[in-house]
Amino acid sequence: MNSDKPISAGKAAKVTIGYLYREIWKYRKSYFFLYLIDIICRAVQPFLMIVFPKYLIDELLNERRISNLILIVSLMVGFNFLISIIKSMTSETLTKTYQDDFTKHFDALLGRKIMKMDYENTENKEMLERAEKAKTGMSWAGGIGGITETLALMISSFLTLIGVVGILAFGSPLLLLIIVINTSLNTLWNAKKNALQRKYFGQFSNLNRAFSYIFYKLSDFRYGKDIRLYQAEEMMVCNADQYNQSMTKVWKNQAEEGLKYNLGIRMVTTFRNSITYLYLGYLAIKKNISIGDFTMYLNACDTFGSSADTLLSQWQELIKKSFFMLEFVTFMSIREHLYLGDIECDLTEIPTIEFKNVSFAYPGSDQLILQDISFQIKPGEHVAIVGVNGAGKTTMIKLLCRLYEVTDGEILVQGINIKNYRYEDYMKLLSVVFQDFKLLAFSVGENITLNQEERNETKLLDAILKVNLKERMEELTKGVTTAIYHYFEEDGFEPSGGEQQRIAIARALYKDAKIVILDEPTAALDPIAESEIYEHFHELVGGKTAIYISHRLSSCKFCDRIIVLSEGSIAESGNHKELIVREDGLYAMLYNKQAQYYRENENYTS
Amino acid sequence: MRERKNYRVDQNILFLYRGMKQWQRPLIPMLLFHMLFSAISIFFVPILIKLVIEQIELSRGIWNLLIMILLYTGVTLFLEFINGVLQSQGWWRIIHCRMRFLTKIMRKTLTMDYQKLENPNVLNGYYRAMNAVNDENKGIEGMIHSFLKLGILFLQALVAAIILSTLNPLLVLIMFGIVLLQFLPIDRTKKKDKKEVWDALSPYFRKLHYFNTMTKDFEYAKDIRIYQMADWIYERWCDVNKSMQRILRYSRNLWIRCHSILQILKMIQEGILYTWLIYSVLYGNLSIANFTLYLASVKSFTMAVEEFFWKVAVIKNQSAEVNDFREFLEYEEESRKALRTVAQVLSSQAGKQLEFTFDKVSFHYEGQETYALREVSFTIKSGERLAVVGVNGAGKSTLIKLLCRLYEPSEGRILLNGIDIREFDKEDYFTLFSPVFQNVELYAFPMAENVSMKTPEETDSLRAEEMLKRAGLTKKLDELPEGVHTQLLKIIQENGTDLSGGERQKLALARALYKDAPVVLLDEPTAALDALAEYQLYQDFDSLIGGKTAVYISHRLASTRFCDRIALFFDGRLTEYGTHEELIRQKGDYAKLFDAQAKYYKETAEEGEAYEFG
Repeated sequence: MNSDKPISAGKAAKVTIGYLYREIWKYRKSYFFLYLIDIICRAVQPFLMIVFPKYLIDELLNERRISNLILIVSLMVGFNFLISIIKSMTSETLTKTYQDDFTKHFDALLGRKIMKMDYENTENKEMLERAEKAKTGMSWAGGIGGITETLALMISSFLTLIGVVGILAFGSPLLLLIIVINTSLNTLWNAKKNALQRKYFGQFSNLNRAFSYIFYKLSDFRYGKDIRLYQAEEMMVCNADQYNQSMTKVWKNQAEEGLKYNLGIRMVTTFRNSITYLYLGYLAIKKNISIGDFTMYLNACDTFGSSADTLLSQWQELIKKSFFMLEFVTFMSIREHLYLGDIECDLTEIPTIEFKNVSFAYPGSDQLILQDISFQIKPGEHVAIVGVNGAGKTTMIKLLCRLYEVTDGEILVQGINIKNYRYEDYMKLLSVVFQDFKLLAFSVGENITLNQEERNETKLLDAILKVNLKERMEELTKGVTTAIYHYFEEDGFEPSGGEQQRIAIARALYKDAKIVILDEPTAALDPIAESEIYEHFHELVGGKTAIYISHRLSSCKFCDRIIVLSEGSIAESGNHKELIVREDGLYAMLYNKQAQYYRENENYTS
Repeated sequence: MRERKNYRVDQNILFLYRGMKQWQRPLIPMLLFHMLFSAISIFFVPILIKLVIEQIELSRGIWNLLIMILLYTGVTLFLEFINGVLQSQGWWRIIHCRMRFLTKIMRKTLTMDYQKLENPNVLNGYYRAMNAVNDENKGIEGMIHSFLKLGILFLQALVAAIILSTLNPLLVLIMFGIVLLQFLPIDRTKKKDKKEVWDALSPYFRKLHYFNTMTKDFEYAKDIRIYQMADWIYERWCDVNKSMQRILRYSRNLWIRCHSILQILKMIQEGILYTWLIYSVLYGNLSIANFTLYLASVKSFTMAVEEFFWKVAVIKNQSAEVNDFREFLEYEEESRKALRTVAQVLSSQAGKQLEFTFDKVSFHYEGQETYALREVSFTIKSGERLAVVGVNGAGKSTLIKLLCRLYEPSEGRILLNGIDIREFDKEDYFTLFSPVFQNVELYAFPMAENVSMKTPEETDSLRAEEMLKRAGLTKKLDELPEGVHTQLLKIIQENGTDLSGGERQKLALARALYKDAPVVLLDEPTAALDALAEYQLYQDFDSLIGGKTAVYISHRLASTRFCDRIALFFDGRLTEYGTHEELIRQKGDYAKLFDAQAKYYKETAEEGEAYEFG
């Protein structure tokens, strides 16, 4: 899974191209037809300028037949026109209606992959970086078009090259030898230059990271307050200058060390020209070839040089882009590890939930967040889970929701290990409002129903009514079809914190699952609105099984049972009345501590 | 806002020239010579070919050929050598200049008025300015390269035109005219494409951006899984893609039409060219050698002219980017150097008392009509603990920013010991405050510098260590082998240390203690701290700062009950102000809010009356 071991350039290109073209084939096959035409046009066009001028010049030097001259020129100009037209049609179509679409399609595939990968990956910083890299890798590679264009150029210049080699081998094998030697030298030095670039890039990337950090991140206004009030400008600028100098030094060294290869390539090209002209000129003077042949071979040599250059530079491009794109490809091939059972879930009955000796440590960590937890929740029971920050409350919910797998023990619903249920089925059993729930930029209605096809209007209205959003909805111009935020509709609305909360609860109610879980938000809500929602919640849940994570102990009193977590274990369990009277109990201690700020004031308020 | 600066292309070139002259003096002659030599050497090959063909036609001896080619080789090698050296020497020098320009932005950002920095217009200006220095093909570096290229193309076209006019100047004019004619359909298509395609696409791009960021924002991950939204969101995403496809197909048709016209023009051009040249050979005594030279020159000429005009469009864009850059650098600011320093005022008055008075202070963000704060008046006495409470968006943070002069009041004034704070030197005024803001930002530098916020030379590591220990990080420091010299964050060094939310808070506290300013500000931590932890944090903080003046912000009423005075904000107004007891007695909003939070606890105090659901 880790891309630690270096992968060879050829392999990167192979993997990337294999993956992309397979996916494109699956997505839109017609692409390959146009792609082929495009490549052929590109490969053929250079030959017009190699072959036709020869006949033109020979005709001009010898017979000078007007009809032949007209024929040659019109064929040359006509073919050129035809190929250019076809080329511009195919390339416009390829870029605008295919490649651009592919890039967006692959973006969407990446999005879906992220949405469907194991949840534990989403809490993994490295994974976040990889997802980010997959996306930037795609854009640095120039999107799908970046790869396909490069490959098309390579193939077409390769084809051109074969043709030119044919002409030269037939007409003047010695010339072929000269340009092959020249091209090999160029290739060699180019490779050295690239190796040099890679070497310096290694040195450079550390500096670059520091540099980007200082230049881009620190100019961010989030840091602005501290920097001004603590007068830290000098600290920043001093650091920045230092990195700037180091980087300039690296560039300078790279330029100076690379100079010999640069010069070498320039020299060799000059010599190639000289030798070619000398040799061809000699042949022509000796009347071994005509002046037409002379220009043809010259043009052929030029085309050989430029095609070889293209092939070479595009190969470098392809490697570079493949490495970028590889981030995307490897991300897409991350495997999911979540165990998928196949037992059907009974969605009609209100289930029992049992934690049986459950222990949990985050993947890659030894530290047990939950230790040997066992308890049972009866159908329809309302249970509150309380404890200080970090006691393991939220982790417990994540286990129940199959966002993580237990490290030890098992969680049973209706007596069956939740792993063994069909995943989709089991999800239908849960309605959860997380502390950090998120709304989507779609309409309010869609945010609640989540799927247009199976939308049930009466249920939707019912949910809206229950969370006291009916009046607010009526105020909106488009009612429940008004979009939230402004991404999708210019006239979308920005719900307040309290309204967002209500919409999230309506979503849970609409889902009508048999187990309801509410994670109390710590975000700043208007305390009056907040208490109103949460008092009400117990009514809304009705006879379903409910789990309630609470930070404010006062609101747990409504629950049938309170489970007090402390350092990953259950410290106490019982209802409010039972727990509050335990002198040395954790719950009573926490409760009194919270209550004390308020109690002292009774004489003022009542 | 101010009208935008609009420098002409030549003015911007001058601007770049001045920068290069200052930082990399040799670069300028280097670039000029590179330009000249590149343009000249383009014609070596066609002229050589012409000469060689002449030799062939005249069937001269092999020695003439050899001498000619040796001459070509010698001159070319010489120029190529110089060009090679100039190119690689120029390359790093240009980048270096770009970096220097970049540093200018950085310095500007670090020192400009904070209020401006938060202004979306200025922020956009900042991003645009960065755009001009980010990339070798854009803005500053792009413009240098483009200018160079334009010079080469101009010389190339000039030389080609001179060669061609020895045949017939009319041919030059015709070729030039046809090249210009090409830009008509291109311009029209561009305008149409912009109006009918790209403008129409912009709402879709917004949607795509949303999908891209939303799916990668892992805060959505839980909801997406529990509510099984993945496929649904994916389908909606694909729908947007499909809609974009339809519009892009139209754009493709526009451009195919345009390209067809261009190809026809090209065909006409080639037709005229060949007819003309062939006619000259047949009836005008044009030699084949010159035929090839003119052919090559025409190709060179049309290509150079065509590319020249493209490049002009490019350099105009880049010049606009340089404009953005200059506009940002030239944002005017109020004079920061004012008459008084805080020390002067304090020494002229008895004791070291600091008393801040808000006198009918109102504030709204530039370009916005709604006020973030309205007519706020109150006083913070020396050594007093003030709690600023209210729900999110009530104006609490704005108040703090006004107090420490990150913002300037839109109306009203803030007085320090009776003197308007605007009369103080800003840098000096900043020394009065030790703030701890909501998000504690760490810097990827050593821990000691994170505390001192000074350059390594000016940092007192021992003092930094002491403050970190006082702030409660003793255990953490012991764990770190390099102690206060440990690099923070993994951004610059991979073995850097990251701190947890709580530890960051403590580091910020150490930062405040290190600065030892007379006024301490504590914004509420946004991290999901429960009420108890938040209360504890405020208490600890308060016990550490001794007798200093302090302002605490919170939306939880309980956290700040220990304060001497409480200021309740609602909708940008200071609605209630007084001690906790006073406010409870008033039975106003504060009492109501307090009641809402206290209700349940009171009920238990009365024992047993709690109603239950379910």
